[in-house]
Amino acid sequence: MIILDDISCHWTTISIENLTIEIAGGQIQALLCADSGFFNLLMRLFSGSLALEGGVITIDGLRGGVMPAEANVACLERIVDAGDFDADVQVDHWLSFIRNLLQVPEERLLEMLIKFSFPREWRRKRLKDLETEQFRLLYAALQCARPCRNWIIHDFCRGVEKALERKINRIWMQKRDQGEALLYLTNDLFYASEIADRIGFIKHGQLVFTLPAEELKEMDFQKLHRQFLG
Amino acid sequence: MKMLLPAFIRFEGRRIFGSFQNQILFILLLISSVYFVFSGIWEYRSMDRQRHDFQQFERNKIQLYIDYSQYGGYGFRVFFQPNPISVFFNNSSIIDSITSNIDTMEIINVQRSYKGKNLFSPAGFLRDFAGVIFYFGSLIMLTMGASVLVSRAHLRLLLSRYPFRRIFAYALLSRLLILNLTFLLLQLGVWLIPRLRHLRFNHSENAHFLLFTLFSLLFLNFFFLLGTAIAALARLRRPLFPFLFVVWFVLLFVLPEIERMRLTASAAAIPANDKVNIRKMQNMIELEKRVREALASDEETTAGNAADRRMRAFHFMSRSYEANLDWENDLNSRVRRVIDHHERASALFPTLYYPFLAGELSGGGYRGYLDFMHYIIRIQDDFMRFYMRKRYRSTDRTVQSFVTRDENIFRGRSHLPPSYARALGLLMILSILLLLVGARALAVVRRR
Repeated sequence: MIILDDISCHWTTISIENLTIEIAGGQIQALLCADSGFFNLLMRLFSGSLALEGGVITIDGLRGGVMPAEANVACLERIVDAGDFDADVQVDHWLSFIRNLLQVPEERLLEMLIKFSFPREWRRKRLKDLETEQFRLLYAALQCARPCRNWIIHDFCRGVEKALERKINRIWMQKRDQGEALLYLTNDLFYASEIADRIGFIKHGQLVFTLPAEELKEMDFQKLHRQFLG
Repeated sequence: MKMLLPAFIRFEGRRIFGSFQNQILFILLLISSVYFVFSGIWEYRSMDRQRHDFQQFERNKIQLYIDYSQYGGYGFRVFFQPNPISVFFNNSSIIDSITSNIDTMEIINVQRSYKGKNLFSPAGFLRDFAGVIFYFGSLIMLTMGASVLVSRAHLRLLLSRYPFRRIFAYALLSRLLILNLTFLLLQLGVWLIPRLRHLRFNHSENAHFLLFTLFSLLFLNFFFLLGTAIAALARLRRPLFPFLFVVWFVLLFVLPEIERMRLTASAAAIPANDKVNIRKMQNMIELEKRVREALASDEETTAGNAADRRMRAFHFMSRSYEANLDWENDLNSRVRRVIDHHERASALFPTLYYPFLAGELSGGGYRGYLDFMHYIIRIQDDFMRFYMRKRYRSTDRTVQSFVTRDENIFRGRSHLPPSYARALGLLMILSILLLLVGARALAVVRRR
């Protein structure tokens, strides 16, 4: 369970003001905001590199003015490309190191690689030799295999192929069904309505309103977009 | 958690040695190191052979002199023989393949022959093992240091579970450990080559090589941390190599060149060799004239016998020689002051001190030169006494050689500069500063 209780914080010109949300286990909540700086600030808070100026973050009962270090939470940012890494290593070696670092059990990773249809022979390739979509499959599988109960996800699927997006969405649903809490940060109204159970709208660093995804489907998307995301 | 450091070491090992580009670099490093050590051994052996020829020539020359005045005029030469450890620094020496002529002309000439095959002997710091580490090693370490934390995406991924300090320390430590071990093995390997080629070092030479290894490893670590700091200050943006190359070029070529120009300017105050030599010759000629005049007046007045006249001439010449010796010592003390100043300035920055240290350890550095000069002055002193005694007192029918054993061979000695500890300390302080700069800049990068 993720609880943000009246949190306030600012970084350069971007600020979060008195934000209160609660994401229970077995729920996906999306936060929509036009300003990606707001989400970057929120990610910094969740990664523990920034302290709150007010309020409390609670993750599975662990409370703090900064993100509790022992909190069982995974912060996922947008899928990157192989070029963003030192790509001159064998996929297997890279996987083994990152798996060790993120403490991902091997069986869980193998299971996820199968779910994402990442063939065994690709693991013998060098990271730099993987095509963009192949690397994205690998990266998504690795991130999704992390043994966490709480997830903060920032536009993870932006720019990926529709087929991969569908695979990832299925994983989010599975996680929700297993009782995990997911907070999805995006400015894509359609994607949010597709995966989330509840949706919140942020404007000028403040949560304006939240509503269940079913109610959103009956509303005028264009008007909402103009009002909050334009 | 305990498994994290081994995981980092395994991964970094694969990153470093798994890359084809790095494999080529390390093979080139190994080949060039081995080649230059072999070339150093070959050069040392060739100098040893030259020494034999030289001694043979000098022995034959003595038989051609008719009397001592001819021997005094032509004199004999002293050969500078490098010490065995110079196989690692054979081109770092300031003095190399030199001889000096000892005669009664009072002119100390130290010269390098460019005649015959000597014309083609290589020179330049890049052409020895120390130079390979200096140029090639520093560039490798600079690029290795710059790629520790790869990119912001990589850093974010590493930081998803562990705090920044731990990740930074492990990434740095594992890479440094592997690279230091690699360079240590390389140095140990090249140290074994001369032994396998039956070239023995004494205890002091072994200790000096060990201290050189320590300095060179810290020197390489300095470049590694410089690379990390630059990458961090550039916020892990790529491509970084052109910028790294410029920094490397400035530190390794421009900075030593500026120091060399400063050294040349400070050495300008030292009187020119020719000026000193002319002054000494004038003094010598002046006194010789006075001796002749005195002897002529003795003959006119028929005062004293031949033995007395020779004794008076001997005393006159001795006084002239002592005055000349003072001038020569004065010149050397001026040179020493410039060297001391150069040493102090070099100790301030590792790229200035490394070539200085290599030169001194080779035995052919500035202190090697001063040693050689002291030896020359001392042996000239002995030769002058020998010459005076033989010319004015002896009744030898044939010319006896001053050189009875190996007096005409000067064996260069490896010198550990007194500034070594200070330079090492400064190098460590600079490295710590770079580490702090890198860590601080990366801490800012991860927040962005």
